[in-house]
Amino acid sequence: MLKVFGCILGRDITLALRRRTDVLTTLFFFIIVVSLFPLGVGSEREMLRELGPGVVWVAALLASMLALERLFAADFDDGTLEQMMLTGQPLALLVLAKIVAHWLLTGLPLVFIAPLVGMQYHLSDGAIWIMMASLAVGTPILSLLGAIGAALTLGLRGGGILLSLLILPLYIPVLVYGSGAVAVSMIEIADTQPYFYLLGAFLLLALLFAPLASAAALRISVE
Amino acid sequence: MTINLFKYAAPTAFYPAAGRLIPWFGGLALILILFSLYWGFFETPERLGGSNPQKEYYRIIFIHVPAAWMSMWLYLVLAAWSAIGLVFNTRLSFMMANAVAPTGAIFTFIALWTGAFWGRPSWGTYWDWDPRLTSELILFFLYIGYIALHSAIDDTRRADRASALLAIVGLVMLPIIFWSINCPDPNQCAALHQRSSLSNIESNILTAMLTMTLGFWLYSFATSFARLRGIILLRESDSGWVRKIVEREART
Amino acid sequence: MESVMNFLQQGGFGFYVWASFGVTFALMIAEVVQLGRNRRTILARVGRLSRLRGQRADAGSHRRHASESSGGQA
Repeated sequence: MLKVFGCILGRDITLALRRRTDVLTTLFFFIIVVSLFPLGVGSEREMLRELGPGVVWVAALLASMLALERLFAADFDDGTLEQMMLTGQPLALLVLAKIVAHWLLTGLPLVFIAPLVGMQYHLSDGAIWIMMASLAVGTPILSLLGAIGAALTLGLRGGGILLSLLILPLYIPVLVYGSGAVAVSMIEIADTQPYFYLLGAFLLLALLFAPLASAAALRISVE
Repeated sequence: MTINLFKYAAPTAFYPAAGRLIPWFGGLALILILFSLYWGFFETPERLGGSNPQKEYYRIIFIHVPAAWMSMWLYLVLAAWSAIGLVFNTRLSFMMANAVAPTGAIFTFIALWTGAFWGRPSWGTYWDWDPRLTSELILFFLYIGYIALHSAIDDTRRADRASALLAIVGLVMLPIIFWSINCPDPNQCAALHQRSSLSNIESNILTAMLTMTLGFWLYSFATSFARLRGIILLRESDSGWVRKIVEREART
Repeated sequence: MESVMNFLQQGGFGFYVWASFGVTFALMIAEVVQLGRNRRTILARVGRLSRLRGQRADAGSHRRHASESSGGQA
């Protein structure tokens, strides 16, 4: 089973690295959205420091949303997806492998770009570390939940817009606690640990249920 | 005497039964709503006492609270029919879920709208990011998502099943979403809405509110049954019994 | 007359109260009206479909009769 998982993971990453622009588009989308805010709301240090955590997290939500549409689309178009469903392997496992690959390519880069964004918003070093940690725990949840939506809207006209309508409300808990952790870390006495416990719990739950739900959704969409 | 309820799981049997029930549900709903309006405006005190005194504008409670209750209840109904449909693969359940969704969305909108008009005089603002108001807004998005997904898919079978799965995922996420909105800081929680205190509410106010809830509930039965009948006619338009019904209706 | 005015004013909060109640019942009535209209269009559409199919079936049976009778003559 682990071999199958590794196989799909390796395949998806190789495919994505052959078309590097897709990965870079997501990353630059994130950077552009984050850079637009100071132009829109003004560049006072204090205000930016307050807005920073929320803006970064909303941008992360949108960036992960943007890439989701492609999660199953290519495999669906060339028939690979149907072949995957016909193999004896549990579909949820294959889906999980695809989700992990998707996160490595779109979520993880956001974690590493976060310090740059933190500097744009004058966040302290401590807050930047917290932001990286919260993105590292939070973005996998986004990929996991998003996979359900991507599977449901597979092959539909205007699927991208519909996908965001369906999935963005479900992202709220991650947004609340992800940006909450960063915001709270700027206050001296406050404790960020509860935020990470909660995000961790969400991640575990999502790991457990999201692949199953996505697999069910794929069956509905492809049959 | 036992009535075989499973008989009504077939659209053929359900269609005429629903047709007979709609006037009853509709009529009763009208009576209850009118009664509640009368009671709410003429038999209640002009002020809401207690720890948080409010003047006449508190009367919005007679539609705000029932609409909010119905919006949540109907989402539960929607998700339940979706789950039944997915598990037992019954066509009528999906149609039922479909028929409930627009009414639920309307009640959600009503709850938001009246909430805004109640918030202005009592909190001094039309919109506040109060946990319950925000939760209601998210619920509205979930309804819209369900309806949008269903109408985006042309193949009826896929549309039914995909939107049913979405409704269930939404139902699982709802408590987490509501909780995260209610308690954005796990170290401490605060809310603008006061805790609901049904027990120490004035009895006349309670009467008006509960009759309105019952009225709204029956109203939702009537509208979703009417919508369901339309859906059945469209989907079963190939079968003979639908053709007979259409001929009969065309004559009258 | 005065009591009616008093009632409409709702202690000065008439705007908020009537905006809430008005929109609520307007929406509910609109839903009912829309359902009625919806039903009529569906009935018309299904009726058209079934008449179309009926004509085709009639035409088909005519042809069958014709071929049968011609077959009988031969």
